[in-house]
Amino acid sequence: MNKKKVFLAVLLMFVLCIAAIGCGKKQDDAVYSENDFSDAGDEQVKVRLLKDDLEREVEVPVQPQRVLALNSAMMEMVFELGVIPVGKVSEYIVPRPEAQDLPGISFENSPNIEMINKLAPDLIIAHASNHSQIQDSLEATGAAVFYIDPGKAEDQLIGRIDLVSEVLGCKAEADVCVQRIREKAESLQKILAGSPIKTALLIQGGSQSVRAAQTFCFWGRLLSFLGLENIVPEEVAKTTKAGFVNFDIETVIQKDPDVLLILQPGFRSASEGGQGGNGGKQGGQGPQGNGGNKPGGEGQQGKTGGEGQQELKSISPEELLAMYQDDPMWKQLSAVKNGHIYIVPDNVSPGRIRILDALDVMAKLIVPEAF
Amino acid sequence: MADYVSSKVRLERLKKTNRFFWIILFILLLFMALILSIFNGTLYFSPHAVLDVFRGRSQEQLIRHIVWNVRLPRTLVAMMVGFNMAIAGALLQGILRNPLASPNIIGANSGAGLAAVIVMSLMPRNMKVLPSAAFLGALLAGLIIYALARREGRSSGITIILAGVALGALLSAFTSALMILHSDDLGITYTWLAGSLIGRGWPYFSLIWPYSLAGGLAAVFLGPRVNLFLLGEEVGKSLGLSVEISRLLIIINASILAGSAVSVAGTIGFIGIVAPHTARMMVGNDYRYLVILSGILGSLLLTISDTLARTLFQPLEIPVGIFTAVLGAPFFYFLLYKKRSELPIS
Repeated sequence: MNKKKVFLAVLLMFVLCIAAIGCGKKQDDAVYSENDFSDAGDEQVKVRLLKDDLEREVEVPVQPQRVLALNSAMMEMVFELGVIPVGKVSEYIVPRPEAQDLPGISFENSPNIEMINKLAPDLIIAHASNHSQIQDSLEATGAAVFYIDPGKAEDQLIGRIDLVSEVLGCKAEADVCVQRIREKAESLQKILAGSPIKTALLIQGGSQSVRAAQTFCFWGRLLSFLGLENIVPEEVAKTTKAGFVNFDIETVIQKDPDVLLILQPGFRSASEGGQGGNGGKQGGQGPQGNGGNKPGGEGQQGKTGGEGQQELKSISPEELLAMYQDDPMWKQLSAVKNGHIYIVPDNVSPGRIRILDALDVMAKLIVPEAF
Repeated sequence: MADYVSSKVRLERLKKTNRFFWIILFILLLFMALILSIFNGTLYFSPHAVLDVFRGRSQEQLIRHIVWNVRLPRTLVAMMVGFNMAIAGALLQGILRNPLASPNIIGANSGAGLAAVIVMSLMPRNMKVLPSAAFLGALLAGLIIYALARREGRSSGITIILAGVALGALLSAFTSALMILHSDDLGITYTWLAGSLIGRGWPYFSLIWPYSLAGGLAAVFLGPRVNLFLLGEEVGKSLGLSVEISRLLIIINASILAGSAVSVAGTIGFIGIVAPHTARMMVGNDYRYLVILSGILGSLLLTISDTLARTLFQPLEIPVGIFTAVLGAPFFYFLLYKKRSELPIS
C-alpha cells in the first residue's frame, strides 16, 4: 500500500510537470508570420548552382534576401560583406547596432529549428561539421542550405570570406574587406617594427599544459598579420589540423619568445562592460551564454569602432608575473623577465570581435607604449 | 487449505489487475505527454490551430510544417529512444542480476561514442554515416564484451560486468584522445555525447522504429527467460533454461535496442536505469510485465525531458541528456535511501 502511495505521489508530480509545461508562457504570438509562407503567388527565384564544402550542388538564390548564418564567425563575415542576417546565434557578441535586435536562434551547436522556420530564410550558411546532422531539418525550411568548412581556410583570420562572398554574390565587397584588413595590418606592422618584440607565443592559460596556437588559426594569424613570428613551427600543421596543440615546454625555452600571450577563459576587456558570459571557444553552452548578447551601451559601441581607442583591462601585472616568475618552468623566459606577458581579452575570438578591432587590440596589448 | 489456495489465487489476480492498471495508466500519461509535446514549442500556436492541422483544416503552412515535420517526428523519436534505452536497461538488470546495470555496461555508450567521435573528427564531411557508425560501434562493443567474458564456453554476470567496465574504459580513453587531437571539434562532440534530439525529423524516425518494434517484441518474448535468470543460473538450468544461448540473445537484443537509440540521439544517460527501477516498484520483478512498463516509462521520461529541454529556456535548447541526468541523480538518491529495505531485483 505504501508503494502505491509513493507512486501516486510520483504520478501527481508527473501530471503537475505536464500541466506546468502546458500552462507555461504564453502571450498569444501571432500565428501569421510576417513572412510569406504560403505557396500561392511565389515569384520565380533566380538561382545558380554552387558546390559547398560537403561536395553538394546547391541551388543558391542569385540575390538572397534573407540570409541566416548558423555560426558566429560566419555571421561576422556576412556583416562585413554588408549583408544583415535575419537572426543570430547566442555566441555572436560583436557589438554591432544592426545585430542588437536580431532574433536569437539558440546556440551554434544546437540551433532552434522552430525559430529558423519562423525566420523563413532563403539561404542558410551552415557549418560543415556542426550542422550536417540536421541537414534534413534545415532543408525542410525551404531555404538553400550551404555548408562551409572553416577548417579548409588556410588563413583562419580571413577565413572563408571568399566562399561566403561568392554565395552572397558580393565578391567586390569581399575584396574591399580583405584590402582593409591588409592595410590595417601593414600600418600596425610599421608601428611594431620599431619595437624589440619579434617572436611570440600564444597559449591557452588555465592549466599546466602548454596548448599553443598554431600559425594558421585565428590567433596565430593575428600574430602573423602584426609581423610577429610564432614560435610554433608551420610544419606542426601537417600532423594536426587542431588550432591549438600541446607544445613542448623545452622548445618554448629554447626558442625563447619575446612576448607571451595567454588566452584565458572568463577574461573581458573593460570596453566590453556588461557583456558577461562564458569565456573560451567552447563557452556559451549554458543559458548564461545569452548574456553575451546584451549590448554594452551606446558609448561602448562608439569605442569599438574600427579606429576606437579601447581600454585594456588585464589582471594585475604583479599577480600574473608572480604566477610565472615563481614557476621554474617559465621564469627563465625573456618574456617573463622583461614583463612582456599579457592576457588576451576573451572576446578576441572568431565571431566575437571585428577583425580590424582584433588587430588593434593585439597590437596595443603587445606594445602599449607605441599607442 | 482450500481457503488458503483461493486467497492465493485472489491475490495473484489482484496483482495482475494492478499491473494492467499501471500499464494502462502510463500509456494514458504517455499519450498526454505526446499531446503536450506537440502543442508546445518555441513558436506558440493555439490548441485550436494545432488541432486543425490534424483535422486537415489548417490553412497555415508554417503551423502545418512545424507540427508535422518538426514537433511530431521529434516527439516520436524521443519516445522510441526512451523506449529502447529503458527496455535494454531492464533486460540487462535481469540477466546480470545487478541493479546498476544499464546499456553502458555492455559498452553501448562508449562504443557508439567512439564511433561517433571518429566520424566527427576524421570524416567530418560524411556525417550522414554517423547514425550507422554509432549503431555498429554499440553492437560491436556488446559482442566484444560478451566474447571477452566467456571462458570455456561459459560466461557469468560478473565477468560480463567486469569486461564491460574494462572495455568501456579503453574505448573512453580512445575517445578522449581523439577529442584532444581534434579539439576544434569539441563543441559538436560534447553536444552529441551529452545526448540531443535537436533536428531529429522523419528520417531519424525511419531509422529507429524498426529496431524499436523488433527489439520490443523480442524483449516481450525473452521476458520469461529473464525471470528464470532471476532464480539463479543453476535453478534456471534445471527448469530448462539454456543459459548461454539465452544470455547471448538477450545481450544482442539489448545491444540492438541501445545501439539504435544512441545512434539517433547520442549518449543519453539514466533512462536505462531509472525507468526499469521505477517500473519494478509498480509491477514487481515479473519481466513479462516489467519489460512493457519499462519501455512505456522510458518513453514518458524522455518525452517530458525533451519537451522541457526545448521549452524552458526558449529559444535556447539544452541537450536533453542534461535533463535526464538532473532527473536521474535524485532518483539514485531515492534508491540509496530505500536501500535499507531490500530492492526486489534479487
